[in-house]
Amino acid sequence: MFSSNDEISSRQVRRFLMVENFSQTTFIMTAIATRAAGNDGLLVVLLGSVFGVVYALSLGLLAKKINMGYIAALRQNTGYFVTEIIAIIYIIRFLVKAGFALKYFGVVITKTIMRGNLQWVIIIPIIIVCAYASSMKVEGRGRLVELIFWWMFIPFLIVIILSFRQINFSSCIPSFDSGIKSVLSGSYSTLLLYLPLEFILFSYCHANNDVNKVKNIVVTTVWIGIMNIVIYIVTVGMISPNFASKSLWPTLKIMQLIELPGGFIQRFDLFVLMFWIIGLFGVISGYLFYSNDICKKVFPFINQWISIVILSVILFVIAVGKTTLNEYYNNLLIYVCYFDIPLSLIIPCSVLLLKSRRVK
Amino acid sequence: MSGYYDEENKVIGKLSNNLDKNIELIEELFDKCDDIVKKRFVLDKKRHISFYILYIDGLTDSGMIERTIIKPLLWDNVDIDWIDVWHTIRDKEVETADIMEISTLDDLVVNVLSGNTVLLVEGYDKGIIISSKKLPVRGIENPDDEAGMRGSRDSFNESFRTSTALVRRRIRDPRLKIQQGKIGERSRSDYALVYMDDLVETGLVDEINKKINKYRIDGIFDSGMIEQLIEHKWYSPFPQIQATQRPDKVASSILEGRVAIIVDNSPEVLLLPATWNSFFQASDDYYTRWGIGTFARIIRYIAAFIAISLPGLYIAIACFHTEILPTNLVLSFAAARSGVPFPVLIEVLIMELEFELLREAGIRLPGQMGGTIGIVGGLIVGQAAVDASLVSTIVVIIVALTAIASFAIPNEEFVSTFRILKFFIIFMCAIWGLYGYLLGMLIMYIHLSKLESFGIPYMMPAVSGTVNQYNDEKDYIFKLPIWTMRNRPIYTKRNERKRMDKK
Repeated sequence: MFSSNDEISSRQVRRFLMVENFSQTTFIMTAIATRAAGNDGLLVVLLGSVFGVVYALSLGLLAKKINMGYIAALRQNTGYFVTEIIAIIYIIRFLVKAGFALKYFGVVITKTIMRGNLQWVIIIPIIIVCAYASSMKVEGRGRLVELIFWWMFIPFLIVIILSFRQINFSSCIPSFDSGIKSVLSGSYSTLLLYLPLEFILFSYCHANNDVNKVKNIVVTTVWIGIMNIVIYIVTVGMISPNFASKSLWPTLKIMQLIELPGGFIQRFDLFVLMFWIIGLFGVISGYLFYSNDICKKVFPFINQWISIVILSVILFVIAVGKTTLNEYYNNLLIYVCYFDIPLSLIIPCSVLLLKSRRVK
Repeated sequence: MSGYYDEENKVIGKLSNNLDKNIELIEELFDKCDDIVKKRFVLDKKRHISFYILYIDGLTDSGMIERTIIKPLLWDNVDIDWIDVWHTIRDKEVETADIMEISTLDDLVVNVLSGNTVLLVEGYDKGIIISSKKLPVRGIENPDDEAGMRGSRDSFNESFRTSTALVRRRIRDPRLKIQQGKIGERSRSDYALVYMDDLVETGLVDEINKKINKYRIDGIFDSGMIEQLIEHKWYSPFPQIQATQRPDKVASSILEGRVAIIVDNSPEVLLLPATWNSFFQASDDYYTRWGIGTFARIIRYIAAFIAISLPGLYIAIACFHTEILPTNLVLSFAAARSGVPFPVLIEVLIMELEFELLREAGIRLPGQMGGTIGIVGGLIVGQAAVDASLVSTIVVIIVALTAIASFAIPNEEFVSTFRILKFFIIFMCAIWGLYGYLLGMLIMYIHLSKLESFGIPYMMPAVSGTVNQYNDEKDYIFKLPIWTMRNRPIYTKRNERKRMDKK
């Protein structure tokens, strides 16, 4: 009556992008940057942020040109059969990336909050929670990300404020000795963390028209880039580029180093991490939500809960597979750089091309 | 007897112009109803004109009947036009303004049972209903469940008409509509939808009416029963409709475009739509200066956090993450727990259960005894449990703090939700520690994100706050000065949101 219009506000769009993109980047961005270019990691993050903005702009413009629900556009321009194949491709791609986020989540939790626990004990409940979150409509998800946004960002601000005194800014300054190729390939690799931006294609049609949607997307991505730079400076400034490159979660190390004034809480990092990690829930549930959304639209004969259960089981199998996190990360990086990123642009471009031909 | 009633338990048939036949039917309908007063009076023997009066002893003002019906008809009947007796009686003889004509037996029965008086006249197939209710009713008392420091002290009571009058007294505007109806096939309880005609969202009143009339039910004895019939998600622990005893709260809500449901025999009036935030708003927030109001709101939100989280967090930290706390504090916790044979979870559950028993016993016992049980339970049993090493002092403090926090929230129904959620969080923390707390809170957030109350997102204005140009956020955790709240909240019809302007 008041709000059931399948629309999300511009603030919700911003929060969507922040929650789905920022959380994973805060954990891994510094590792990617320092592994690729050592002391020149800041250049990687800077250039990576530019790539991220360009990627967001491209997806925003594509979504704007398509100007309707993405699945509906696929169906209209490619027919039922091709739509089904593309839908399956999207679901597989989303699940592969969600699997990494989930594995990462499981490892981080078992290394910090729940030391010594089996990964599946950690992963099963979060999958159930994500499945529950996927059962809602886009309006509901918009509200959810608005709620969890502050859970993520207040700890972020606290970490920045408390760590400020301990930052050694000189270790962040680039030495320009890594070579352009390393910096460029590293920056391109950072797009791995901006991949949830692809959700724009699916959510764009739900955003209401009170502001310039593409501008909204770009400005938010710029903010994500700025926050990544801040996180890089804080992390590398506290633990040096060399140490940051050795782990896939260098940000956690800095959380362990900061202390709460007054000393009432000894392991402040646990509290910060507990809330910060909600961002990863945002990413995982996002992939599951859009996979389920595609399922609902392309295969309407499948009951929503059945599709959620099937997707969750697949996700669980991917996440608890025998591959170690580092192996998964290395394989995913290759897959993303050579297949996933190009595919994420080629498919919507093809749809747009077919659409323009059809119109002519 | 069942032959007189249709499937909806309404009495079948119309009044006849033969008074004897009508009386015969009435006698059968009200057979063995000894509280019914029925009497036939002869008005004019020669012309065979008589009238019949029917009412219920105890629900009716018999003095008024004497004064306004019987006396004028029997003693002051010199002006009766014997050709048109009906109109003379209706327009001249009955000395009261609140009358109504009826023609069906069902209307007759319903009105008599509601405390009105029925007057039937020989030769006419209709009757006159004279409003003569004088129901046994409590006086207007303080709102016990929603006491405040400032503001009016009156509260609704079980009388339907008193409740509507308390609202009408506060809003002297003909656009305040009181749309009455009856619900319950046997109880025939009165209810009213009260709203501002120009402010209420289009379709809301119809939707509520549709929902109320969706069920056939024997009786409605409290607004809580209607609440359960019309709420959208029955499985949610969160109330989707707000109940209040305070007329000032109802009046201000109506001016914000909300709809109030007043039900006969219920001192609680329902307000809808409702949001999470509306349960944290107390009437005094608006009567005191904004700084104090804001401070009180912040305290209430902190209280809500404590009421849900504190026992769970204690279990998580004590069982899984003792390293979070400084060593001295951990040692002091350990010293307090020394000698306690139970795991922390059991210890907390014992104390929580004791507290819940106390609360339940305190409600059921009469006034002064309720206070006594609190002292006996809280002080004596608590102290004895600590002395016997059944529980540690720290758990007593945790449970007491949780209880105090829950009392700070100004809505009993909402507090009950927190009591249930507290146990959910306790179990999550007992299994997964802080991670369990995170999962529990996420589940709650997801549920709250899904929840709507008659189309309004339940978490407004924490979510979708931009919809009303951020105006709802001025009355959220921070309650800004009244002069800044120039727009009505989201409940109001879209083009009627302006509520204040400078002259």
